[in-house]
Amino acid sequence: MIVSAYFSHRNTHWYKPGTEAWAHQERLRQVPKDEGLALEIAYSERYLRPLMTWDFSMPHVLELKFEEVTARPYESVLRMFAFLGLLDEAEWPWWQQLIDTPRFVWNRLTRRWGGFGRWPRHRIPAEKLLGIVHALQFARLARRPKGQEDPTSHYRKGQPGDWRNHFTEEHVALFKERYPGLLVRLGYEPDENWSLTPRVVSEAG
Amino acid sequence: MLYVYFGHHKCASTWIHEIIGQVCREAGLQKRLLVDPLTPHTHGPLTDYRRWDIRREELGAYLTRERVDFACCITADRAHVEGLGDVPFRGFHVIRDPRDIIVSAYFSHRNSHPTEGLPHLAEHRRRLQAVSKEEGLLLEMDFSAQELRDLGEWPYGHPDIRELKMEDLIARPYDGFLQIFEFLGLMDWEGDYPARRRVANFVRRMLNRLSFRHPLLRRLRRPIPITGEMLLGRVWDHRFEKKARRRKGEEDPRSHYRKGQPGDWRNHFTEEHVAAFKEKFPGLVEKLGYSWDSSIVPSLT
Repeated sequence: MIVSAYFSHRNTHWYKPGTEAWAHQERLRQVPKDEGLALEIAYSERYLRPLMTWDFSMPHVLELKFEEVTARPYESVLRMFAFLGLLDEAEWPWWQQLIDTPRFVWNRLTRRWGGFGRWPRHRIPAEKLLGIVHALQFARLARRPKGQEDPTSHYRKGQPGDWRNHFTEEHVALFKERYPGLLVRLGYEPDENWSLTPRVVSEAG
Repeated sequence: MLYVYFGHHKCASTWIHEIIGQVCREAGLQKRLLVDPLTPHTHGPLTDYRRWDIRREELGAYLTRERVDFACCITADRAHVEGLGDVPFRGFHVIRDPRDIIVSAYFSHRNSHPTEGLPHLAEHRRRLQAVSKEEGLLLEMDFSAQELRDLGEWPYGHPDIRELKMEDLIARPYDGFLQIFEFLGLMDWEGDYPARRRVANFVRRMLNRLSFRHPLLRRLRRPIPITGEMLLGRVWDHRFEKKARRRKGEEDPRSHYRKGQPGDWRNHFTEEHVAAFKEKFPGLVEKLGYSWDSSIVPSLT
C-alpha cells in the first residue's frame, strides 16, 4: 500500500491546490524516492491506522486480500456476490434471458439521467457478472500484461511484493516503528522479524 | 481458419469439449468431435460418429470438406498435426501430469467409464476388477502406454498451438479459457457495445442456437465474435462443484468427476509403481514439465 500510495500520490492523483494532500504531493515531487517513501510511511497512517483496529471476525463481513482478488478476479467477484446474496446461481434459461437482456440494456441507459425509471433485478446471473468483470479486466489489461509497469498510470503495476523493489532497510525500520504488529495481524508475515530479503520457506507444499 | 482443440484421454477432455460445444453453438461455429475409439491402448482410424474410417493423413482435407470450424481431437497425437497439412489452423493442446493420468485412468476404467462399443475396455475392466489396486495400477500403465507415448512424442513449441496444463486450467478456469480463446483470435470486447448492438448480439446468439436444432434452420446461422459473457457463462455452467456436486478435492471413486486434485498419484503410487513408471516411460515426467521432487508442487500460477 505504501509503495502504491507513493506513486499514485506523486504522479496520478489530482488535488485541489492548498489542501494537505496537495502539499504532500508537492513535497513528494521535490524529494528523491527514498525520502519520498519515508514521507509516505508517515502520511499513510490515516489509511493504515484503521486496519490495526479492524475487527476481522465479523460473520456478516467477508474478508478478502487485494492479492487474491487480482490473482483470481473472476472467482473473487463470484465469492463477493454470493456472500452478499446478490448472485443468481440458478440456470439462466433463454426465456429469462429474453426478459433480462432488454432490462439490462435499459438499466444502462437510465444512468444517463440519473437512474430514474430503472427496472431492478435483485440478483445478478453469474454469466452477466462474469461478463462485466471481463469487460473491466479487458479495459485494464488490454494495453499491458500484468506485472509490466507504467509509473504514470493509475493501474501502475498490481504485482504483490513489489515493495521489495522500492523499500530500503531504513524504510523497513520506519514501518515497523510506526505500525508494530500490523503485518502479522493482516496475515502477511508470521512474526515481526521480516526484512528486505524474503524468508526461505522450508516446509514443502 | 480452422480452430483445433488437441486433448487426451483423462485430461479433462469431456469438460473442455462440452464448454467449446456450447460456446460454438452460440457463436454459430460448426464444431466436430474426433475420437480414436481404440484409445488409450493403441491407434486406429478416427471417427466423428458419422464416418468410422477417417485416416490421420486425410484429417485436414476431411475437415475442410465438411466445413468444420472447430475440431475437438480428444485423442490427439503427432500424426493429427501432420495430417492437417497446409490447412491454416490455430489450436491449443492440454496435457496433464502423466502419473495422475494413470491413477485417473485406473479408477475410471475400473468403475465409471462407459464400455459400450469398446470391447478392449470391457475386457480391461474385468481384469482390473479381479486384481488389487497395486496390481491394477501396473496393468493400467501397460494399457495406457500408447497415450503416454503420444504425450512424449507431441510436437511441443508449434507456433500455432498453445500448450496448457490441465492443472492450471482447472485451478483458474476463467482466465484459462480466456487465454485460449484470445490465442485463437475469437474474443471480442463487449465493453463498448452500444445498446442496439447488445440487443442484436443477444438475438443473434439465440438464432445461432436455434440453427443447430434442425438442418432446415441452418440458414439462420451467422458466426459472431465471442464475448466474455458468452464464454465465461459456459465455464460457469460447467464448474466442478456443479458437475460433481462436491467441492474440489473431495473424492467419489465411482464418479466420472472423481476428485480433480493435482498430485493425487502420491496417494496411490508405491515405490514399486514409481520404479515401474520410470522404467516404462523414462524422462516423460520431466519432458512434460512436471517433477518427481515432492517439494515442487505443480505450478498453479
